[in-house]
Amino acid sequence: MNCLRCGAPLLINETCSECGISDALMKKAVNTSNHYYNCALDKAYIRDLSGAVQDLLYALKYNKKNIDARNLLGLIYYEMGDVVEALSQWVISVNYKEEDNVASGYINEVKNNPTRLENTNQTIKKYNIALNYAKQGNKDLALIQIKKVLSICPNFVKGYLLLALLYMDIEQNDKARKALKRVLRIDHNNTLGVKYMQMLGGMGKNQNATRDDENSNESSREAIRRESYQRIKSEAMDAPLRPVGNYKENTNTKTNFIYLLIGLGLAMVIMWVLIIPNRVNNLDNKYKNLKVKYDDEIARKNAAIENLTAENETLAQEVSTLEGQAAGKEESDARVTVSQALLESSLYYQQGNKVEAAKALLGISRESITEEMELDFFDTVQAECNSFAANECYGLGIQAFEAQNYAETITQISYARSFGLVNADTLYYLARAYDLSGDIQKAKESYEQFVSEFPEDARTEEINGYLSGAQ
Amino acid sequence: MLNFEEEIRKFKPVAELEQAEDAIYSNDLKDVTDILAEMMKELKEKQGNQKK
Repeated sequence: MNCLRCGAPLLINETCSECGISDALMKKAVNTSNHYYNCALDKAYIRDLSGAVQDLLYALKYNKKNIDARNLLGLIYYEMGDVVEALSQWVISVNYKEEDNVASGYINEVKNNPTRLENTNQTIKKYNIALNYAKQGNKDLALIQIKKVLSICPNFVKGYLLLALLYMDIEQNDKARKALKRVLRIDHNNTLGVKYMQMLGGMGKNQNATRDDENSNESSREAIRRESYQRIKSEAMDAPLRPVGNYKENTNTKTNFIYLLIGLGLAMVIMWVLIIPNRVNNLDNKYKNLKVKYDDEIARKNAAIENLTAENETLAQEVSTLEGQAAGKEESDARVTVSQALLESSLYYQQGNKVEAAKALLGISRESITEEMELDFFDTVQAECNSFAANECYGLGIQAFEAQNYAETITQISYARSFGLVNADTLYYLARAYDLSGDIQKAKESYEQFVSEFPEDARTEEINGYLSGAQ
Repeated sequence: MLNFEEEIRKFKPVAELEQAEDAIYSNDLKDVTDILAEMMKELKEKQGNQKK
């Protein structure tokens, strides 16, 4: 047997060989510590956190290595917003027992949330600033600061107590009562909280009686709880142990593969039943909408095409109408020209001016005359006047040639030829007039015509000479 | 009747995170058994001195 405190072997009289403490005393200390721990645990369950803290401190006084008590103490401090105290207890607990200690988990949870940790630090700093303001008499600033604290950390008991105190000082008792209720919700038997509530008269006579009733109720509840705890414990002891099944991890690759295939198959079925129909429906709707849209567009375009076709037809009709009108107009214009020419010719003929009468008919052709009477007149004038006009114009042409008026010569000789006097003489004078007036091209054409039409003429050699000169 | 000045004195500043190390070291880690051990040690020393 070894000493419970230092682990040194015990002597025959059951005292420690190292520290000299009786083993019985050690056991008593440990039992007392455990008893206080149990009491603290019960109080913690019913949220008597202040009472639980007291019991846990006693428990640690009897046995500083009571890990459960230290961990619970840290937990209660954390619940009341005292993070530093909580961390202290947990660190000490881990120091006494490193392995298999829940305190390690608590410490990691706090450390691994840096935002929360920073918020907690800010809370503490602001609380201290608020307390400082309050002590200096700056109660308004203290109020503002403490409200900020409680907005960050809503379970900070000391903060609510300070807030309640400040409200009570400025006689805002309702707000103070509200703050104290928050305290008592977290810690039912908080000494300061209960005291301030009594001061506010929130407890009062009836409330005192209620408080007494609550106390008596509390003790009876505690008794009931202990009884039920004992009953449950005994039932658990008597009940047969239920065997726990064997859990063995499946390492069979073939089975895993089969499970994988089954899983894939299920996924495919689900997809086929749920997801694909929905997708198909969506695509269908999309297609229908597109079809409707395109149908509308096609209908619009068809209508436009029809309109344009109709317009085109109308325009084509108008064009043909106008062309007809234009042709008609040309015909009528031509008709007007023929009539005018005949009229002019008849006037000259009546006046006895055969030359002019013949000239008037030069612009029109026999085919353009449709009226028989007009045709007769045309033929008469041609028969009677053309020959006379030809000789007259030829004579005028010779006179003009001799007068070296070659333009007039060309005009008159051309008239003579038009009236039918087409011979070597007229051609000769015409060619010479062209040549002498400077129109070399026409002169050359006329010379060549003369040579080809009248090769036996006496003037052909002369003409050839003129022709080589013109070339 | 509330005496603010008296009540506010009961409120002590809370240790900040930077002061956690000091808080741990300042923790009184003596329990009853440590006190008993010290008492036993003193007793033994006294007895030893008396014998001399």
